[in-house]
Amino acid sequence: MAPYIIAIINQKGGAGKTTLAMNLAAGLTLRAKTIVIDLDPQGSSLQWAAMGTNAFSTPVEAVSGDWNAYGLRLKYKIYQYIVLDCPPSLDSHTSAQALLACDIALIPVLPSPIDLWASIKLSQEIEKTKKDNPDIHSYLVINQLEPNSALSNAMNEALKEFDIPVLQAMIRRRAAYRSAALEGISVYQMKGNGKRAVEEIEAIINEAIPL
Amino acid sequence: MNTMKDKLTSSVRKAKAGTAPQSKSEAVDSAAPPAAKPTEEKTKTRPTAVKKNTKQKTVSANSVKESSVELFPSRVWPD
Repeated sequence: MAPYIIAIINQKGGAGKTTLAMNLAAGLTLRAKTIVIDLDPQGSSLQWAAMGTNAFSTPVEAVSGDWNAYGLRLKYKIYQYIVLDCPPSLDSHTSAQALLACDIALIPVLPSPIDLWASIKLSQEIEKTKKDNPDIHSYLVINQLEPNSALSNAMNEALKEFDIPVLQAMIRRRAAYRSAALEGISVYQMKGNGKRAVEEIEAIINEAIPL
Repeated sequence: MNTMKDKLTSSVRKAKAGTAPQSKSEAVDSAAPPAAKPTEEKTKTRPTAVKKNTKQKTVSANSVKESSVELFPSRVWPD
């Protein structure tokens, strides 16, 4: 069975790509063989995985050079899920290939006007990609939601302006996500403290990823 | 609350409308500023150029170098 490729992409830095990629991969690892490919030159996923005393639940590798979708699928054919942690840029070979290679693009967006504006270009890029990758699915994932904030509540209305659907499952602003990065683990390994975060990641998996 | 919703939504609409023709307007914009910039630069650089000249004049007045910058000045100006 061909691997199912999930691109976590947003050209805006600090949107939560690595947090979503690492925790999503940890959740998927509980279901099937999964790998994270760190495409970001900053190497945040690799750093995250290297922080822990024990190995991260999911293998994390970097890919560089002139790779393409075919080569990626071939190289990692033993995995059922490949999670691509994309760089914070759209004007690169890497981002273009990631969009061509993926089955689904998850776009984390913060409840902030600046992040929303920046994501518009990405939604247009995904529309363009559909010419070459017509089967691509894409969803916006609201990240760092603060339920009591007026801005967070106003997000849903503003997101209707996008051509990309929004996942019902959202990620709240939680210390557990940052603590997990610091410890080099996923929220799944945090037990009690990460319980709510795990529920959020599980909701995303169940809503967006075919199992 | 409604104002926040409306503001955010209209800002996204504006951004969305702005991204498609941006490449064209950017090209126009990029053509316009260089024409304005040189004049700005000229006005900015002129005073410094004048200053430099005046300084040079005082330094080399009558071919005598200013004593403050010479290790062994040929002439020391009175205080």
